[in-house]
Order: sequence, then structure tokens, then C-alpha cells
Amino acid sequence: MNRKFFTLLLLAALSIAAGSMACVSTINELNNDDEGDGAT
Amino acid sequence: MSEAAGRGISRPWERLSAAQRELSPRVILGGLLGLIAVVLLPLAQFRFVYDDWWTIVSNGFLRRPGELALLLSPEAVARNIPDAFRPTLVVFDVLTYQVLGTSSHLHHLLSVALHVLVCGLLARWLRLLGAGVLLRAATTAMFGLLAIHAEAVAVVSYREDLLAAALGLLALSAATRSAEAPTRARDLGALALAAALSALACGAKMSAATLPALWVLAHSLSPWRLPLSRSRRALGFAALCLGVGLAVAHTALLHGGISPYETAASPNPRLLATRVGLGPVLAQSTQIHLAYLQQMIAPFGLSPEYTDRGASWRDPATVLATASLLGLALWGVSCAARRRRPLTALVILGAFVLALPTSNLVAIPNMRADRFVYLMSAPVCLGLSSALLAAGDWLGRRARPRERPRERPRERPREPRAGVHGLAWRLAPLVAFCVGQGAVLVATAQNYRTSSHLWTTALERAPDSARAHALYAETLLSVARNTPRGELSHTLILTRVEGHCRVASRLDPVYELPEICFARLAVERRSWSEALRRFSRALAVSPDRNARILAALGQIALDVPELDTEERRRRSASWIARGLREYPYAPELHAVAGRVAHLTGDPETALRHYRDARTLAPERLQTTIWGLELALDLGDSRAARKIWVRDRKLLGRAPVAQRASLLLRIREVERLFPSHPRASILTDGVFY
Repeated sequence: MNRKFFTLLLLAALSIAAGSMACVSTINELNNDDEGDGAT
Repeated sequence: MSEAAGRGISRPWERLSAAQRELSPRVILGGLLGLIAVVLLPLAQFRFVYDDWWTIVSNGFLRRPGELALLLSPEAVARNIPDAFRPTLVVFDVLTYQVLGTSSHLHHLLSVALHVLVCGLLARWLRLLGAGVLLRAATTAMFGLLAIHAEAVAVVSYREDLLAAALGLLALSAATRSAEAPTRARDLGALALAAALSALACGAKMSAATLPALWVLAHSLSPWRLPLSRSRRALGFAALCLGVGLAVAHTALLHGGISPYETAASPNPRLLATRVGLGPVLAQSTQIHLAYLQQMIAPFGLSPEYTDRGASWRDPATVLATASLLGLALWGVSCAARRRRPLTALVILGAFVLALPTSNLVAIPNMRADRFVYLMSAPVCLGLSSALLAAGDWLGRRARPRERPRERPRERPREPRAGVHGLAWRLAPLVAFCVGQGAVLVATAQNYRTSSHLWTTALERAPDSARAHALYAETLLSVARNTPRGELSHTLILTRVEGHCRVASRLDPVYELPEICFARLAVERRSWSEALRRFSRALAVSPDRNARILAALGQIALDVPELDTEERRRRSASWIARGLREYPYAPELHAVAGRVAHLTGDPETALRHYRDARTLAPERLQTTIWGLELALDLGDSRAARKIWVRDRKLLGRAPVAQRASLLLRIREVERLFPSHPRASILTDGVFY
């Protein structure tokens, strides 16, 4: 029973990973490596 | 309460069959908590966003653990300590900073761990209440994977919600345990612990203030076991309320009222209720709460930004939302009053009670945010889990009716079927729901991975938000700073920035962020007079968090061409003095004070301020560069080389051109002023 339970958890994790990749929106990220910490 | 007793009055679909009981509850819970942790593990790659800079990265108070006692006096507000009215959170931040530093990865892992802890504590309290193992596991899994929790878990500074929930659930468990204590001394000990934990929970966030009401509901309705006696309930409730009272008294001590955001004497223009009145805000709030319910069940429309707006009570959307919420509340009250469907009553009334602190009855700066639902979603998850398990049970009976053995006694027709096939049917709706929620949770969390990603998404979802336009413009400015000045691309980016600043200003003319947006644009364009004017206007309309504005004003005042030299110095000194007085824990103000002293020929004062800035934020790149430049300007090659070598990792974050320039200057100074320990001008160096 333990093995079946952990298989279910593994399948759930894989399904969530696959589902999240399908859901995530692709937004072009700006390249803004600004480490200046400037007050202005 | 024993497991068997708990199962005694649980519903058939909440129980495991004999074969399925081979699984230990601990294994089930551990496996589910592991699943939640694994699913959320990618969050460790995220950066600091939103208020993380204000509360953690640039919060100098975290570097002064010896001054924590200040949190117990109004001086904490006078010195503008971030989140001073949440002492538990500040102490937690101090401790985590000491251990984790400013590693965003480790802080995100901590948030995930806190969320998993909350899930475990929720399961534990349900066990103490007598809920069956299957219902506990289902509720835990659903709470852990609920999509609307993305914001609370993915933003480090919103761990206040996680912390409040964890401490609040511990308080509820302690109060429940007090009723089962074998001796009076232990009973009193458990009650005292419940009161202390309740105070700590409210000290993390006031969203936990209505947990005592949930506790009373749970023990009065008591869906799985006999209710506690009236005196026991009164004792537990009083202990939990005592904790809430202590937290409220602390806020009143600091702010002179129960709201940390405004007082009768000084209304806060950031609160919409101050501008349009409480009526329209509450009308809109009914729509917001119906939307919360929809987002918990069907997770679409989740956003990092919502625009505050009022509504009319005659608006059809308000009428519909009010009628729906009233209907739900009446159903809950009716179930409670007739002592029928106690679980339904607990779920509905519990959710209403937990929604109260963020329901806009007491004005808060954001009318709506996904994180506000964190604690409130616990009873909703309990109700949805029970409903989905019941649906699975029904599905199992409908799908395989012939499997039921004919010889089975008629008096036990609803006993859960043994074996994995029966369990699979029973769990199918729940698993499908949790997987769907988990997928949206992980996808939604991606919106929070960097500031630029966050504000790009915010602008898409809330195009009428002044904040989204202003902060998106600032991310564009960061790009412009890394683009060669004078190139067409640089000019085009600045034009886009100006467009967003204008839209933000039109959307909210009395908001400091659009003014700051214009001011930073003017700085990038080297238009110092315009920058000074805009920063001054921002300061005039901003009720708090003005450290950066004051620092900018102090620095810019030196460059305004219309003013003579003496006036520039006088104004700069005035802004900086005010900043240091009002924000003594802001590293940027100390750094700018040092820079101004440095540029105006006062190296001793510059050195003192640079060292203070360094103490308040050792990870701050700008302070290190300015300190290095001070050593170079003084011709102290030894001090400069020390900084270059010891802070090489920090300086590695500077742009390549700046690093190359600094290295060239160091070599030049070493050649021109070969240093000797005794000849060193700065005997103790700048920082080393």
C-alpha cells in the first residue's frame, strides 16, 4: 500500500509540473541587472 | 482524542477501509507534506521583490539585534522601523537575517518550509478536533497546493501571513489540548501557552486576530466529537483573546489607535476609505470577497496587483455579491442553529470570521490581495475536501455497483470498499482538483520570480493601476541605465518610461510613485532642477517610507544649476539631517550623507557615515564603491586595495566598466602614492 501511495504522490507531482508548464504565461523579461543601489 | 474516537462519528467518505488502513497516518501526512515541498521547490530560484527590499535587504534595523527592545516603545514608530507594529515578524526577520543573510534563495526556501509547517499544523489541529485521517490528509493537500497561496509563499516579505498562520494554529492546538490536560497545572500551562502563541501570531500579522472565534466555533459545532463544556470553551476563548488583546494594546501603544495605518489626527491618503469614504469601499469589498471564493474554487484571475476602487451599493455586481454572501452566511447560521450539518456551519462561519481582519472594515492600504486569503482558505479547504470526498464516494458507488458483495449485511451499506480500486474512485475528484490547483499555483508563482517579471505581469493584469505603471517604468529605467547614453535605444526607453509616468500620474495625481517615476527619469536625463521639483512633490504627498526620497533630495540638491553653491549645500544638509533624524536605520541615507560630505571635502564625516551605512547594510554595493573611492581620493592605496581584495565578491556585482575603472584607479594610486602602513592616511582603513 505504501508503494502505491508514493506512486500516486509521484504521479501527482509530475502532473502538477506538466500542468504548470502548460499554465505559465510567457512574458519577455526585461534585462535589468541594476545593482547600483542608488538613492536617486 | 484517540484516532478511533475520531472516526466514531466521522462520515463514511472520511474513513479508510481496513485494507487502506495499512497506511499509517504519519506516512500519509509526511508524504503529502513532502509533495507540497517538492512542488514549491522551484521558488528557491526567485529573487527579492515587492517589499522585500524595504523589510529585509535595506532594513538596517535587522543588523542591530541589540536594539530589539525599541519595538516595545513608540520610539519604534518615531524611528520608522519597518513593520514596527508587527514585533514577532521583525524579531523573526532579525533572526533569519543573522542566519541566512540576504540570500534570496535561502529566504525563499524558508518561506516554503513555513508553508509546509502551516500545512502540518493544520492537520494536527484537525486531528485534535477528531477529524478522520482521510479528511485531514485531503484538507492538508488542498491547503498546501491551493493556487491562491502563490503570492503568500512566493514573496519573502509576505511570510508574515505564513508566520501568523503557523503561530495561530499552534495557539489553537494549545487551547484544545488544555481541555485534555490531566492536571490543573498542565491545564493552566496550556492556556498560558495558547495566550502567548496567540499574541505572537497577532504580532506577526493581525489576520490571526479572529482565530479565537474560529476555535469557539470548532468546539461548539464540533463536527467529529462531543463539544467541550461551556466553561472549557470560555476558558480557551479567554486565553486566546488575551493574546489578541496584548497585540492590539501593543499597536495602540505604538500608534495611538488600533490601526497602524492612520489615526483620527492624521488621515492616510493611501487608504481609499480616506478619499471616498467607507461606504463605497465596503460595497466593493463584497465583490472582492465573492471573487476570493471563486478564485479558491476556480483559480483564474489571480494577480499580483489589483486596483483599489469604490463601488455603489446599487451596482448590480454589489447587489449580487452581497446577496450571495448573505445567503452563505444565513446557511451557515441556520446549520449551526439547528445543530445540523455542523461541518458546513464550521466551514462557512469559520471562513467569514477569518475574512474579517482584511475585509476593509478597518481601512488597509490594499483593498484586495491574494495573500489576504491565506488563513481564511483553511476552513474553505476543509469544506471543499469533504465535498470532494463525498463526491468521490458517490462516484465509486455509481461506477462499480456490482462489486458490492450480495452477502454484505444491509446495515452497513456505506462502509468504504476495501482495496485500491475503491480508494482510487473515492480520491479521483480530490486528486484532480489538487493537481489542477497545484499546477496553477506553480505557474502563478512564476509571476513573482523577479521585480521586472512581477511588474510586467501586474501591468498586464491591472492596466489601470498607477502603482503598476510607475514601478514598471522604474524597471525600464534600470534597463536604460545599462544602455549606452546617447544611443537611440536609450532615448527610446526613456520615452517609454515617460509615457508610463504620465499614465500613472493621470490615474492617481496625489500618489508619490508617479512623482518618483518622473524624478528618476529626470535624473537619468540629468535634468537636476526637474528631479528636485518632482522629488519634493513626492515628499509632500507621501505619508511614510520617505528614506529614499530624502536621500535623493540630499544628493540632487548639490547639482541644481539654478542655486548658488552655498544654497545647494544648505539644502542638501537640511534634507540629509531630516532623513537621518527620521530614518536612522536607512543605509541609503547614511551612504548619501557620506557621499555629500565626501564631495564637499569633509573626509572625516564621509568616513563616519560610510561606516554607519556599511554597518546597516554590509551587502550594499554602492556604499562599498563610494568607500573605495574615498580611499582613492585620499591617495590611500593600502585601504583601497584592502577593500578591493576583501569585497571582491560584492564588487563583482558592479558593471564591468565600473570595475575596470576602479582597478585602474587603484593601480594609478599605488603607483603615485606607494603606501606604507605608517604613511597610510586612514589608519583603520575605510571598512577594514
